[in-house]
Amino acid sequence: MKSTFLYPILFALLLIIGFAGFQWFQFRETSGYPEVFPVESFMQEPLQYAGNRYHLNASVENILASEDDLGRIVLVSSDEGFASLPLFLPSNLVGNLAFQQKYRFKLSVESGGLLYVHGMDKI
Amino acid sequence: MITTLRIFLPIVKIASVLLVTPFVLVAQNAADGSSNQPTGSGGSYESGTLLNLVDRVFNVDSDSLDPEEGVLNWKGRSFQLGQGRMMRARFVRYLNTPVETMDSRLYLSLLEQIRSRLSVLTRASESVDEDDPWRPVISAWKLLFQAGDYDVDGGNSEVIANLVYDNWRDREMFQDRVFQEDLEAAERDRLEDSVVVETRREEQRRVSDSRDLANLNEQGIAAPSLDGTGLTPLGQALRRLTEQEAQLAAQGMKTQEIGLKARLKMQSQIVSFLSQRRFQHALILSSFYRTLFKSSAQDLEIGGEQLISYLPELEMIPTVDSLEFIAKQALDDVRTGMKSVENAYSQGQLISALERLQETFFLGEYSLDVVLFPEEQKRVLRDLYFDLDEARRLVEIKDFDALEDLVQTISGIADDFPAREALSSIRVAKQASRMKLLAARGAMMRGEIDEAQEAVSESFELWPLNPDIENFMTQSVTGADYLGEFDVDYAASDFRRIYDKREEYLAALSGDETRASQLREALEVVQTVDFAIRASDERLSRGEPYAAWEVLKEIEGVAGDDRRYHRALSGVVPQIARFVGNVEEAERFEENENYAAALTKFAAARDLFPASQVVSRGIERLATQMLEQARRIEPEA
Repeated sequence: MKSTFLYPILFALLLIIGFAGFQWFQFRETSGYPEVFPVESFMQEPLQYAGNRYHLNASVENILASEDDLGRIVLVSSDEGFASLPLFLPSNLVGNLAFQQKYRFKLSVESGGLLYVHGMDKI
Repeated sequence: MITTLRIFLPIVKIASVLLVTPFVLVAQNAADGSSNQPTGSGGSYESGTLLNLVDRVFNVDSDSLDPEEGVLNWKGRSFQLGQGRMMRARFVRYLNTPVETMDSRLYLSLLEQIRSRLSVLTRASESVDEDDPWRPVISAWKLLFQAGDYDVDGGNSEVIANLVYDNWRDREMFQDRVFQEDLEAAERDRLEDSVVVETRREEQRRVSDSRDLANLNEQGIAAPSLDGTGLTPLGQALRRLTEQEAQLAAQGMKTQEIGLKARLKMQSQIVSFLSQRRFQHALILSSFYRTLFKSSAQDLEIGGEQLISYLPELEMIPTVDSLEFIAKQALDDVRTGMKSVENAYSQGQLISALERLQETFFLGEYSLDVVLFPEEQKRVLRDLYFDLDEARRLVEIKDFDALEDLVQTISGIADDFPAREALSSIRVAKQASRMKLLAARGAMMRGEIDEAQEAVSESFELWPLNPDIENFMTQSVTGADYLGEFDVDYAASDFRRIYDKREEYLAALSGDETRASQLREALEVVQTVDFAIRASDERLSRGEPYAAWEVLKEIEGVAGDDRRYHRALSGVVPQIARFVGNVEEAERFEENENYAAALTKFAAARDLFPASQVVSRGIERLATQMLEQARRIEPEA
């Protein structure tokens, strides 16, 4: 009798724990940048998103401009496939860039529509 | 206002030159019109050459004629012919006068008979009637009165007759009864002949008058008086006969003194006939003189100095024989001259014929060889004379178009007219005028107004009726109207319109440095645009619409609103609409300083045409702008 109820309860508990772990992992990866960057909407009205924070999964295409003490302008290709986007990576940002490598970029939309990257992780 | 004045002043200066110069030149031509000197050319080569040629071609006055002084120079002797205009008028009248052939030939026959009868006394072979040696002389003397009846004689035969008669009357031989009776009988016969002639005329007149009188009576009108003196012509002739007889009886007896006077009168009359070029009469009177006076009286001792003054070039001691020789030589020359005229005419060399006829006419105006020149030929030469005269006037006023037509006409009449040379000279003068005008245009383009004025003036002097001068003047005067238009076009950057009206603007804006610079700028823009359009069309024809767009896009800033540019662009854009749309959006974002969005659009455009230089430059430019933007941002930690 005991065993009849015990296994389903343990299975459900494991599911709950697994889901909670996944959620935690997810929360830990996009901490502070929970929303996905709305590429298409941004292309239409870039200034409407000023001040918001997003995360963006994209692969690196090219470095367009670079200044040692300031940072780099990097062109990335969105996973959603709408378009290529230019991101600003400040010089103090931790991590190296590899071409064609996918990253999750944590960014904020600044005045003038500048996409300022605060952190990035390889995916 | 000052600027406007500065624009108009050069135009007004040019216009004033063009309007004033014609009157100056016309005045110069008018002043020089009576001379044969080249006029108004200012010594220029082209004009001088033409006028020299024309002077030679159209001037029918030969070296022996001096139209200005009205003098005919012939074999070292001068004949006063009157003023140049009178000379021309006389020659034209001669050309227009119909030839009365029959009368002239009868008159010529009479003069030959007179000379023939007089020569009997001097010819040794002829037998002389011992009883009446004066008979042939008297018969010749009688013929003089018949000759005097002809209009062509001009009464000169009667002058000779009277002189001879006066001489006879005063001489001792006149006391010879036979001679006297002969002479008086001859005079009486002449007067009676006159009465007979007048009687016939009177009878004819009466027949005519009776018809007229009948008509007048029918109409109830009184008969008119016969003439102003109340005498009929028959009555007048009878009265003259009575007067002559009374005069003969009443002559005084101062024989010696009167004889000297008569001799001097005859000598003077011979010289007078020569100076009047009445050579036939001079010969006849000389013949009479020789029969009347002995050989010792042949020298012109009495009044010789005065007689020489008639012939200043006569260096020999004048005698009646030498005067007779001169008259014969002149008549020979006239005869030869007229043969030369007829010969040239028959060969179609009418210019030469006209020259020779004019020379011969002024030497032998009263010679029958000249008078009897065929009327039809005179008419042809008269037309040619008028054509040449008109051509001279056309040269003086430099109406080269009309002159060309006239030269063609003259060359159709006269084979010896140098038409090619004349036409060539006209073309040279025209070309020279055109070249000067081109120089004027060039000077105006460079803003050298004084040089332009001088060149236009020289062009006008060479060919006042040059139609290009009128166009040039019209352009210059109306140029002021174009200034306002240019300013509007330039302010609107309508360089295409400026380009389309560039010829008008070029003339109107000369001398205005600022506008000239703006004009150059506008022309350069349009030329650049047109070059790009041609290059774009070429790429489009090769199936490369992106490259065609690139070429046009490169000059977008220069082309502005050029209608041809936008027409060309609209032909390309539909083929690459997505690409162009991305670029245009990128530019719009960039304009609003949305550099990230702009760069995104450029990136999208680059995916469609990776080789686009416009897009590459845009991305590069925007990346730099984004770095600058980032520098100003202090993001949240």
